[in-house]
Amino acid sequence: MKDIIAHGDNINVLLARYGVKFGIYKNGTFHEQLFPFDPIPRVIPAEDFDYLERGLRQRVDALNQFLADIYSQKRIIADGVIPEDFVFSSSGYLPECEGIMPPAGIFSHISGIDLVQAKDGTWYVLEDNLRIPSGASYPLIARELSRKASPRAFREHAVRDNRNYADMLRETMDNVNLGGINVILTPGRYNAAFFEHSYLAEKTNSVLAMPNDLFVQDCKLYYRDDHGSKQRVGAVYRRQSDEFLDPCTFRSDSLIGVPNLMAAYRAGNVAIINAPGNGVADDKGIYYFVPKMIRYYLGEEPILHNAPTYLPMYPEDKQIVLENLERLVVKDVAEAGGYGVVFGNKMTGQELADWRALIEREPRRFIAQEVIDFRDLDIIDEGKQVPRKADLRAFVLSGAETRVWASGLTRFSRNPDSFIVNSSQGGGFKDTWVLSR
Amino acid sequence: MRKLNFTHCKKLLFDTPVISHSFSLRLVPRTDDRQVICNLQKEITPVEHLAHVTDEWGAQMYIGDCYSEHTSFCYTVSGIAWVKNTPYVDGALHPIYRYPSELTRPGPALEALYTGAAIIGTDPAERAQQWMHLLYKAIAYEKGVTDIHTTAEQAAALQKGVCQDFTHIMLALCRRDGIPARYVVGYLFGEGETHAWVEIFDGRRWFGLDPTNDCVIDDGYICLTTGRDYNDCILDKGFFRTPGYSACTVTQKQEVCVTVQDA
Repeated sequence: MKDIIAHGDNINVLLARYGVKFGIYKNGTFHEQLFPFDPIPRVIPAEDFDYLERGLRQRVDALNQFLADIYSQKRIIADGVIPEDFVFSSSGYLPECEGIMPPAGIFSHISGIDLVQAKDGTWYVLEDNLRIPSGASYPLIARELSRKASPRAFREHAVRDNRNYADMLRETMDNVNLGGINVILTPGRYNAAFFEHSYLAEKTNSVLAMPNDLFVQDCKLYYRDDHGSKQRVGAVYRRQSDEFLDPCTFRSDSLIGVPNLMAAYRAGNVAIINAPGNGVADDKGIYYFVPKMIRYYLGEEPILHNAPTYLPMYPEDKQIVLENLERLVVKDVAEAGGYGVVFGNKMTGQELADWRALIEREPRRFIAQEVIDFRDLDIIDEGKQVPRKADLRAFVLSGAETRVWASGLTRFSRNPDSFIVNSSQGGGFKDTWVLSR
Repeated sequence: MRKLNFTHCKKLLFDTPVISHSFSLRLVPRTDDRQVICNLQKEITPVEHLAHVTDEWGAQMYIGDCYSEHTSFCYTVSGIAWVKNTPYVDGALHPIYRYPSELTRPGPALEALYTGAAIIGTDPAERAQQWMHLLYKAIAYEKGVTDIHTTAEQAAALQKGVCQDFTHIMLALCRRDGIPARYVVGYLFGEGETHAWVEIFDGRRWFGLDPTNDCVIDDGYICLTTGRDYNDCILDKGFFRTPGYSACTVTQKQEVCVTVQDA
């Protein structure tokens, strides 16, 4: 372990040289920044991982069934488990996807489930990311470099190998491929996760395509290669959001989409990974209902816990929120990436009053959660070992079977007082070791 | 049943040549229990590949492309519509028609219109007609003050607009009042362009109302497509670029001609 820590600075230099960067927009201009790597790994014992694995597979299976139900029969609404307006007034519900059953019935092929571990050791799910969760490439490349820096540490600690991510991803694509090549579609060089797109394309032996390289002809998707000849595309792992995917169907001002891609998808000629329309299942409001979904679709008790959550749209929950706002965290259901998250304990008296009025006025817009006092992880900050808040993004891949990658992205906050670990908010990351015993 | 001949032409002229043109066209009026379409003919030029597909609501679409250089794009669709003299049309209710959409979300002006009204009765069809009369008095028909991006709220604040705005305002008021409602684009006997109106769900079936003319629809109305608001019912969409990605702006002129006559 010591030699990995000693190599921390070297690994960061190499990450910078390989272009492991993260892009963010500030006031409309694009800034590229390094994603700082901390050499002390998060260690997950085998027993903990077995538990997480069972819980994550159960959760993602239920979420996939929910999506298949919402875009077809809507049984869960007819049976009164989830209120109708929660689904159909959500901006993540896309009527354009109504009636489409994707290949193998899989909507969320790559799910990023964000978890934290409380001081008492209990794991809580904070968020499901079923649209285009990013981040798997960072621990992959950091592990590759750490392994070179200290091969012995990995043998001595019985760390499970995580180099199989690319194989898992490729199998996930092959599983739904409808005839043709696999493509990773990037919006381009100025996307926040461009490094990841190119890295994963190389590792999975897929073609990295820009929007202009793809076109739809007779309801089929094609890739135009450097020689001008066309190749049929059977599965496209796209890295832009739904609203930019196809200007003929969604936002017509999108310059990073492929016109008529949705027609090819609806006709059953190409798989889109992840399926469009998944936003209805990872809405912060729908989160509240995931344990109910697990009971409804699988007939099982949820293995993983949700953080205690209140929905102000229910009068009794609103009462609790208004009375206890100073100890709760409030989240805007429409925002992502750590934006739109406010902590009651950071508010002044006036702000508390303003927020109470806002929640009273727009109860459907917010959820409130108990603040989980999560376990700190040590990081090296200017040569000293100091504790910081950290979470874990687990990657669950749904192919022929649902599998959890024995690794993950551990993100920590730079700021000692902050609970927000999103990389778009300036945090760093660690390797995540899953032990085999 | 009334027998109507309809023709819909559109001609786009580009001031510089364009290439890699992809398009989607929603130009086939649907056949249902209220109207039957026959003798449908279409002409699209220029076109290299053309596919006939069905969208999420069962509406028929043509999608296609033209990669080589061209300076115009034209389509003509014509046919015969047999239309029943009834405002009712069968169909299931999808829950999205209960909730505000992007162009119909209420703000202060719509809220004032809503709360200031005295609507009586419990029957959705009766209430919807009262909403229609009310907005017909409150809004003046005027061209050129609104455009395709104008929301119901903006038009209600202006108190002016065209058929699209009347329809959006009525959708907003009906949905606010708990009446499911949808946007309809189609042809109207005697109009030279496409028209927009409302269908509300009365608990059993859809019921057509034309707020621009303050009337219940009759056999002069041919329905093309329906959706939450104008954005769901755009009849043609196209995307193209100029050769070599040159940074020039393409200016396009368009001519539209719709005719509906007794056959």
